Amino acid sequence: MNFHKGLLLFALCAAGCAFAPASQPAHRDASSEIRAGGKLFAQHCASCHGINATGGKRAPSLHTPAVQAMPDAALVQFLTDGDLSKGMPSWSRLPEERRWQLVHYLKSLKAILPRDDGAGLRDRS
Amino acid sequence: MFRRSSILLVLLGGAALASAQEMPYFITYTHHMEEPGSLEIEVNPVFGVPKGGARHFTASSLELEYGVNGWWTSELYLDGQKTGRDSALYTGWRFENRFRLLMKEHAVNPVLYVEYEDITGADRISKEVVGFDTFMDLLEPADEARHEKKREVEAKLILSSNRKGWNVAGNLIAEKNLNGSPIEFGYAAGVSRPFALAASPDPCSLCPENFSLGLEMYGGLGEWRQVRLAGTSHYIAPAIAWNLPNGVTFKFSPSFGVNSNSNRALVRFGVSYEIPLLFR
Repeated sequence: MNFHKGLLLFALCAAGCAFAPASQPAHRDASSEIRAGGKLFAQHCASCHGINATGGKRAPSLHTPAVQAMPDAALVQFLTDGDLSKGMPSWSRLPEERRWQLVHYLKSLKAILPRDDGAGLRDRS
Repeated sequence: MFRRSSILLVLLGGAALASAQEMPYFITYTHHMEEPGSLEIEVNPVFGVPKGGARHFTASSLELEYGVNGWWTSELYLDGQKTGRDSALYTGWRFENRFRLLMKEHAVNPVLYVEYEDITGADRISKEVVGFDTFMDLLEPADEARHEKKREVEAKLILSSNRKGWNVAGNLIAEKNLNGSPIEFGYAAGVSRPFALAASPDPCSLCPENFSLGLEMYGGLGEWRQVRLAGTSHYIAPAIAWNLPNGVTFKFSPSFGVNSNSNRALVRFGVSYEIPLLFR
């Protein structure tokens, strides 16, 4: 293989990427999406937001009305961008499909007011 | 030794679950930074199949990557190598910092990379190819090459984009040996995609979402006032990564030389583990 063939091979792969058909969201039922999102949350988010998303020392609870009232698309965008100056990393490394699954999971959490004692969580379980 | 191993085991065992979703690249950098407060420990052995009569070698680097904050990642590398039946050599260290220049996700995301390295001529990691690096650089026996000191400053402009589940990244490299040599240039480019874009609902290690496939190409672009392809070496490298849910990632990538100046092959392996929220 010479340099030009190598370059051609690389260019073909890159072009394949650029012209790939838009990825179709998986046609799954809502509970599967929520379970998948819960799995992703445990892998990527729980170390900061707590295993039940009730918040930790470094990151807030995701049961708050402010989060629960946010439109799904805005939450996906927030996960994509992060808030780098405040320590929330960008999750653009996860494919968009997985960010949507995370949002489905977050929206399945019961809203708890800031001074709630956690009863909302117990109701959920 | 036992004490050090015990401390490492406690650190690893006590670490909360973290999965970094690593890219399969070994050479190309993307705009994805280490999560703030997380420490990634990575070992990257390289098995070299040179040509021109040079002996096979095994080099390895220990990488400690730390997320200082959301837009700044620091990394320390400790390099070593073993050629043929010669004794193993420590070949130096490198310290890099990456700064994400835009705070939000864009179509193309630039990152500035700055590195200082203090290595010897026996270093064989080949994390980048610059200038007129060729297979002939490896002909000098390691025992002699180790006496050559290389104190170099390196800068990279990293451009990276995510689209439809694909990542495309390109790096422009400028490296300056502080002994007065001219600035050398190089490049690296990569494209990758996970096998599956959506996650499956059940915990799994072997499901397609945990695997990513990529292709890298990298090589030299000459040096100051001699920017050209003639006399440079280039490599193409398919790469695969397996991200386990417990935070361990395995990577594999054979690089093949694509012109007469390149080595035959550089076979790279990688194992990494991420410890979240260290020192926080």
